[in-house]
Amino acid sequence: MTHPNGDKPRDEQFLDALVEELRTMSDTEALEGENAEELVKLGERLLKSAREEAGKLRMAEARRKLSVASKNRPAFAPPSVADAKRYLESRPNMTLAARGLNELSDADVLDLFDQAKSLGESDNSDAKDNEG
Amino acid sequence: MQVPESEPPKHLQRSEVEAALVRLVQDSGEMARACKLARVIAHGVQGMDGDDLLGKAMLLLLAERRKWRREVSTLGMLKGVMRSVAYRARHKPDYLLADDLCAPSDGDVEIESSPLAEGVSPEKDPARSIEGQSELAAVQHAVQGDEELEFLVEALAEGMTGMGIAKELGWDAKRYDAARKRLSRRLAALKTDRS
Repeated sequence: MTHPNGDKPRDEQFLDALVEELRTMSDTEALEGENAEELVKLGERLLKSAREEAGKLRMAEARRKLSVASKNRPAFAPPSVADAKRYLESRPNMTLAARGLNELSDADVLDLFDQAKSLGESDNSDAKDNEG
Repeated sequence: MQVPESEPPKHLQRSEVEAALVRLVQDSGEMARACKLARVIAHGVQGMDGDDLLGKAMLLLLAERRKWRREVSTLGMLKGVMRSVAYRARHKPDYLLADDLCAPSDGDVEIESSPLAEGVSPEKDPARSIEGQSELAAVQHAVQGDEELEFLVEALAEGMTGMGIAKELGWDAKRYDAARKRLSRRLAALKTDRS
């Protein structure tokens, strides 16, 4: 006896061989004991249901991705440089450096804005803590 | 000047998977092959028959939870996917495809199929051999009483090809075809054996 797939266990070999037998037999042989019309109806039913389920899954996945994206979005949109300058100028406790805003680069202005904003938030929360 | 053609992707695209499955369900011969295979693989799976298993395999393919290598036949691909579903269902009684369906498509649940051996190799997953014994046992049981078929199944499990078996037994084409026809009929009878 020849064992073309000698390293494989019997179950694996058997299923591979069965697939090959099924693939190479004629349609008449394959349809032995089956009702051709019912098989096509069954196939269409299975495919329809699989399509619907797959569609629902894709929708759920798209929704999940959307919610992850919105969670990762910053709480406030970054301001324009002009808005950032206006905000900084309006702060009562501005440092000397911040008063020379026109000499700073746009990136530095926005960076300063972020720092001032986070300091402001921290001050607010401290105040709330002290109230409580 | 000839423009070099770009190679097609290694795996089928969603529309190609869909087209392959449409071709399958519209062809009664192909459906008969797929259903017979599904019944064998579903043997011993609680609450799931061959039809359920085939439907779940279609779902996993359409939902892109399994990548389909271009060179793998529809029947070969279905075999790999159905085996992985049946394996999980046998080893996890509350399995409802949830693990597969919730996992990302590029996650580690993906089992690719190769033209030679679809699914995970037994070396990577020794428990698979236990599962397979029940598939083989189902067919051995189905062919009981027909000595030629009993031998045919045994020899297939030993890795021989159908043609090789026929040659070794000195069967002519007519006798080999008749044996395959009887095997096909016995596999059709498995549909009533719902576990």
